[in-house]
Amino acid sequence: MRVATYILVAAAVLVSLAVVETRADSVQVDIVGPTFNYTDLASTSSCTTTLAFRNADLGPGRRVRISVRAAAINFSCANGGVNVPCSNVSWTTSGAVNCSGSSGTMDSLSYITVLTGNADATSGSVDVNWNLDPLTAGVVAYSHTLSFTYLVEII
Amino acid sequence: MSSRFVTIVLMSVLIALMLQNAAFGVWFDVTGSSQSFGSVATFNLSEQCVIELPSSVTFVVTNLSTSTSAPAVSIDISNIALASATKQLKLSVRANSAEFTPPTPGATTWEAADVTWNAGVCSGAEGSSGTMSGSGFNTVATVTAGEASASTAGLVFTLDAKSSVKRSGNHTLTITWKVEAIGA
Repeated sequence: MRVATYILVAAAVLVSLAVVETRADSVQVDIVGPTFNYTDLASTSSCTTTLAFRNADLGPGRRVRISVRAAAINFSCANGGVNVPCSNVSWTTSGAVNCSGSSGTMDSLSYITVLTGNADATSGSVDVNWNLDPLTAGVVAYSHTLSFTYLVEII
Repeated sequence: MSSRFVTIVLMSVLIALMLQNAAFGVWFDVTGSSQSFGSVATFNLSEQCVIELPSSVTFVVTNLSTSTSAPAVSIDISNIALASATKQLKLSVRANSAEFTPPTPGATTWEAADVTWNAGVCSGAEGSSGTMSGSGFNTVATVTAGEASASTAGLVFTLDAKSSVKRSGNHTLTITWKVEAIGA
């Protein structure tokens, strides 16, 4: 009787393992940070990068979503001066393929969506047209950096 | 199918794959429901300013035995961005030659050093009086560190009396302004 119980328990474990076997979604993404070069601080500075995904192996009806969030409220500069807020960075999108692009403004508190892939799309891309607002007085002429995070989700 | 044909096809596929990858950057693998990646946004700001300078200074000489002042001019500087909060913008001027060009070749005329200027009335800057030189720049104004804009009004250039000048007409002196960032 005791042996039979062991066998039953072992069988149950094996069956449950088989049932809970899941396939992990996977995808490859190409993510690049923008670089702005100001020649006139009184004008908006712009640049374009491409956000892309490929080789997506997703469950039925699932899609890729890519969002961004700043890691700090302001850009940082080794030479000091007036800080430039991350919210001065905004973007529009164009040329979406197998996905939709979303315009947005960089935020340090929450992720803002940039790309949402079409359901079941295995690849896609969108051009992100980044803009950085005109600078205010006191910003030093130097390199300023803002760390931020791309969040890639399968939804 | 010849081996040569197969080779060509394989090379074409390889080149196409290389071009596809070249069009993008580095591909990151994502496995699971979500994953985050750090990135950096960068902006580079060059040292710069916008400055409005007088295109010319004119002395209307009616009496050679007295000095002649030109109408006061203004200089406006805006959108100043320098590499540090302690650097300053300096405005200087020099003559391109040691003396004016007379209306008649060889005629007596003024020397560059006959031109002087006052300190003017400055905002966001310190004005400096000076004498024009054909050999070096002399300071007109130095903008206060950290100022995003500055101006100089009431800047008056004066031409010395010179009774030895005998020819009427236009005596001209070409000058060069220099705008520079100084300090560290």
